[in-house]
Parts: sequence; C-alpha cells; structure tokens
Amino acid sequence: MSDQNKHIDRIFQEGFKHFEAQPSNAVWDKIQGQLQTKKKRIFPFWLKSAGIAASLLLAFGLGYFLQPNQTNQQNSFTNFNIADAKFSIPTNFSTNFEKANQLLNSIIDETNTLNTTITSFNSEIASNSSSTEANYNENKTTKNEPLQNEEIASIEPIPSSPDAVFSTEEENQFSKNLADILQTSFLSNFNLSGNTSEENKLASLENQIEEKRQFDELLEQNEVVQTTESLDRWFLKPVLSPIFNAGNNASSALGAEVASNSSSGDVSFSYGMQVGYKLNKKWSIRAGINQVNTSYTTEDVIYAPAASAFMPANETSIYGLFSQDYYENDISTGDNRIFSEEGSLNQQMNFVEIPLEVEYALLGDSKFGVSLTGGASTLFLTQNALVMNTSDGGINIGEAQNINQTSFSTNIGLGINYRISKKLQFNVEPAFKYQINTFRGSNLNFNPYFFGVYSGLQFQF
Amino acid sequence: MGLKKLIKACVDGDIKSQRNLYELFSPKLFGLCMKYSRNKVEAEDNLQDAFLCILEKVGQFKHKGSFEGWMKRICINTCLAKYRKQQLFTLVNEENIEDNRVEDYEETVSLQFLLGCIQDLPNRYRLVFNLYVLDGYAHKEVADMLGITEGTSKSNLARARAILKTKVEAYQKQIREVGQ
Repeated sequence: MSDQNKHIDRIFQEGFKHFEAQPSNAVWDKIQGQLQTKKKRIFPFWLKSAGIAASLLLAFGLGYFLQPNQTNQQNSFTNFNIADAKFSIPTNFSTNFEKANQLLNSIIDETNTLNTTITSFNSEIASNSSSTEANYNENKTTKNEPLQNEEIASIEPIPSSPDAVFSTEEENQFSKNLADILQTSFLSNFNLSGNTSEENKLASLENQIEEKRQFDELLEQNEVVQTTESLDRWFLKPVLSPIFNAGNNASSALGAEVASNSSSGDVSFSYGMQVGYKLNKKWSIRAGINQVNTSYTTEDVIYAPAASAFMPANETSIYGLFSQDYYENDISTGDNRIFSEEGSLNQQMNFVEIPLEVEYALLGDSKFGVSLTGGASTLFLTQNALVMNTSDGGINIGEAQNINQTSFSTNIGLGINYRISKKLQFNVEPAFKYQINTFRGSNLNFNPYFFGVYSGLQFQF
Repeated sequence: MGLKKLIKACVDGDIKSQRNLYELFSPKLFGLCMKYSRNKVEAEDNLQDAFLCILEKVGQFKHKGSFEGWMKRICINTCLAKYRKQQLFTLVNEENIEDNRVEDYEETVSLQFLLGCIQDLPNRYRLVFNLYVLDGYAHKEVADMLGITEGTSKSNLARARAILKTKVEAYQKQIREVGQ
C-alpha cells in the first residue's frame, strides 16, 4: 500500500518539481494599487480616533460647562480671610444706605439753603428786588435737577413774583415742617450750621447728580450685556443624507460559508432631526435622532431552503447558505437533491441613531462658515433582514443572529454653512461614522463604517 | 544588484525594487499558489495577497535561511488562511478508503492535467496533499498548520490520493484508447 502511495506521490512530485507559472500582468497592477491604498488606509483609522477624541472632549467639555459658578467658588476660596467673611449682598446694601444717606443729606442741605433763602427773602424783599432775582436764579438751577423731588415740591410754589410764595398759609406751614424735620435729621447727622456758602452746596449737589448719572450708565451697560447674551443660542436642523456603506468584508458577517465571497456596501440613506445649543461663538453641542439604513450585498450566494418535507426519509436534506463556488464544486456534483436559488444576498440593518456631538466653528463671521464636528452615536437596531435577490425577485430569508440590539459609532464631520438670514442657514456636512460593537462574535473581520453627506436647513432661535 | 540590496530597497519602500522582486520571484510563488488554490483566478488573488504581505513584512526578514523559503512560507500561509476557514462541511467517511491502484505509470501525464486534479480536490484534501507530498511537511506540522489532528491529516491525505489515483487512471485509460 505504501509503495502504491509512493507511486502516485512520485507522479505529482516529479511533475511539480520545478513548477513555475506566469501570473497575468493584472496581478502586479493590483498589488501596486493596493500598496497605494494601504498608504491611504490610515485615513479612516485616523478618523476613527478623531471621533473618539471628540467624544472625550464632549464629555469633559460638558462637565466643564455644567460646573456651577466656577469663578465665584474660586474667588471665595483663594481670597478668603476672616475680615472679609461677610456676604457680598449686605455690603452692597450698606453702600446703598450710605448713598441714600448722602442723598438725604444733600436734600437737607438744599432745604436748608432754601430756608436761608426764604429768610433772606423776608428780610430783603422790601428793600432790594434785584438780590431777590439773583437768589431766585440760583434756586432755579437747583429746580432743574430732576432728582430732588421733595426739593422741587418745596421750591415749586416759589413763583416769579415773591409775593405769591407765602400766599397760602398751609403750603408755607408744610414746607416749614418739612424743613424742620429734614434739618433736625441733618443736624443730628452732620453738626453743620446753616450758613455754609451756597456754591459749596451746589457743588456737592452736582457731585451727587454725577454719581447718579454714572450709576445709571452702569445699569444701562448691564442691560446691554444681557441683550447680547440673549442671541440665538438654540438651533434646530432637519437633515437628510445619502449613506455610503463600506462593506468590503461584509460577507464575513454572514458566516464562514460565504465569508470569502465578494461583497460591497450599498448606498442607503439617513434622515432625522438635530437640536443644538451654542455655548459660545465657537463651540456648540448638539444631539438629535436619526433613522439610518445600512445595507450590504454579498455576491454569488446559493440559498437552499430546508426542504426535508419533500425528501424521502432515507435521504438527508442539504440546506443553508453556500458560496456559489463551493456549491458547484462540492455539493451539486454529488448525488444530493437540493432545491436552491442563486443570486446575491442583501443584508439590511436599520438603526435609530442618537448622536451627541460637539461642533467647533473654524470660520463663521462671514456668510460662509466652516466647522468641525465630532462625537459619538448610540445605535438601536430597528430592522434586521436578509434578502436574497434572485432572478425571480427578492426573498426575505430571515434575520441575522449576530447583530447587537445596541451599538455605537464614533463620528467626525466637516460642516459647511451658508447663512441665508439671521435665523436660517443652509448646512452641508460630510461625515464619517465608524461603527463599534455592531456584531457579536470577535472572529469577524468586518467593521462597518459609512460616509454620509448630511444636508439641511438650520433654524436658529 | 544583490538580493540583500534588493531586499533593503524593498524595506525602504522603493517601488522599482518591489517590482523587481516581484518579477524575480512571482513565477515560483505563482506556481505554489496554483497548487494550493482551486483555479487560476483564486491563485492570482492569493499571490496578490501573499506578495502584499511579503512587502509589508520584508523588514522583519532577518537573513537567516533562504529568502525564497521565507516568501514561499508566506505564500502557503496565505492560501491556508483562505481555504482553512471555508472548509466547514466534512464530506465523506474518511476511513474505509479503497486503494485504487494506478496500473500503468509509464504513460506520460501532462502537468496541466495533474494541476487540474489537484485544484479540483476539496479544499482540505488539496492543502494536506500539497503540504505533505509536494512541500515535504510532516503530518505533525500539517496538523498544526491546519488546526486539525494528525489522524485527520493522514486520512485526508489517503482520501486525496484515492481521488487523484482514480483521475490519473481514467486519464491514462483515455489516452490509451485514443492512441489505439
């Protein structure tokens, strides 16, 4: 027996001793092409890590932005000492009190002046009308200040004719009472006599008014700041995109029977809605919900349905998926009786995608804007189908068992915006999404990823 | 240019040298691929994959042993990787294989026919026959390379031989009939 074996072995050994064969020229061309694409192949992997980097940035960035009152906390800890250990609000109140006090004092001053003026009126009225006029002018200047309501009230009764001032006894009495009250409080605060020169008092009054003006300005500035902050921060964007699936090894996800068949990714589509929030001029975060359909086609597949019902009991039924080569060489040549369909096998997976992405504006001041986006998506499987495309039409042959219900993707994109109006902009965003954890089982050499060109109108509000 | 220099240039990624290396060795490597593959198209695919692998790993070649042997091993491994995982269906009861003796070895059998016989063998039989008979690996090594037991390797070989014998015999018979 071993002799006979040696004979047959020798035929082949001798035949193939110096066996050489010439491959067709196309082989080197393909090798050369592959060598070049291998250099380019770094691209998707770079994109993949960029997507991961962006998700990390997003996670840490969110933490940073959501940290409550970070600067206040810092100040209170770094500048803390016991002497300063009082609330800032009471301090503000106390300065307010001081200001109010000063205001009150100046009113008192003014009333005091009025009193002196009135006294001087009384004494001078009969003899000197020109000095009355001068005094009146001074009063008039005071009267122009809108702040001093009480003062105005007390001054208003003073008409051009000095006689009318004291025409009503009641008014006279009221102003006298008011003056008394104010003077008492004034004297208790500042032990000042009533004969300070009127110029000084006017000057202090002017200071007072200046302070008030500054204060008003400050208030206005605050208001301006508030209005700039209320710019359109939210945006809403319905998007639609063709999806270009990369599926060179998609056949391996179907099982070892057809793993080495040629396969390709199909062009499918995605649509959805994004909502975003601008943190500042450069950064924004966005989330959304998209329907994503992915589809891969594996060529030259034979599908043999389980046909045991039609088989005689003593014959075994052969059924399942086979590659055409295997089927033709190893199955159909035997005595097997098989019902089969040949064609291509289409694997369809539809997902609901929840992306969380961060967007960084590279350019954005003119009508055109360019931004980088990155982040991650969670993908929920909604449809899972295997469809045989045969010459007789499509046959749904079932579901793949190795797809995870929940999977993820890392995303990276380049957005280009065209601003139509303040509220509306057109947005085109080529994006790359690298899927993670799509399939169960580690021995697959198929990691799906896809490109999309997401376009849509962005509404800002 | 010596082989060492050529290898060095290939390590550096010089495309002309890579081309030269290919021209120099592709006939031998392709012959190997033809034996291990099922047809010419697949043999070309395998050669392509193998040569890409060679160019990728050429920097790891340590100049111990023959460079040609190193390349051949990569070629064989590429083919094994491809056909090993496809073999899911064990077809026959591998015991009880009858020995069909080829009666007349003197008849000339064309190389093309022999190649066709090998290529037509089921994957595993073809791999085992190639490794053991044509490339001189022991059953232990074959078993390791294919992830099977030595026993399976031996029975696969016996089955392969049986198929080949039948075919060669039939072929020779046909030749004789035509000749008469």
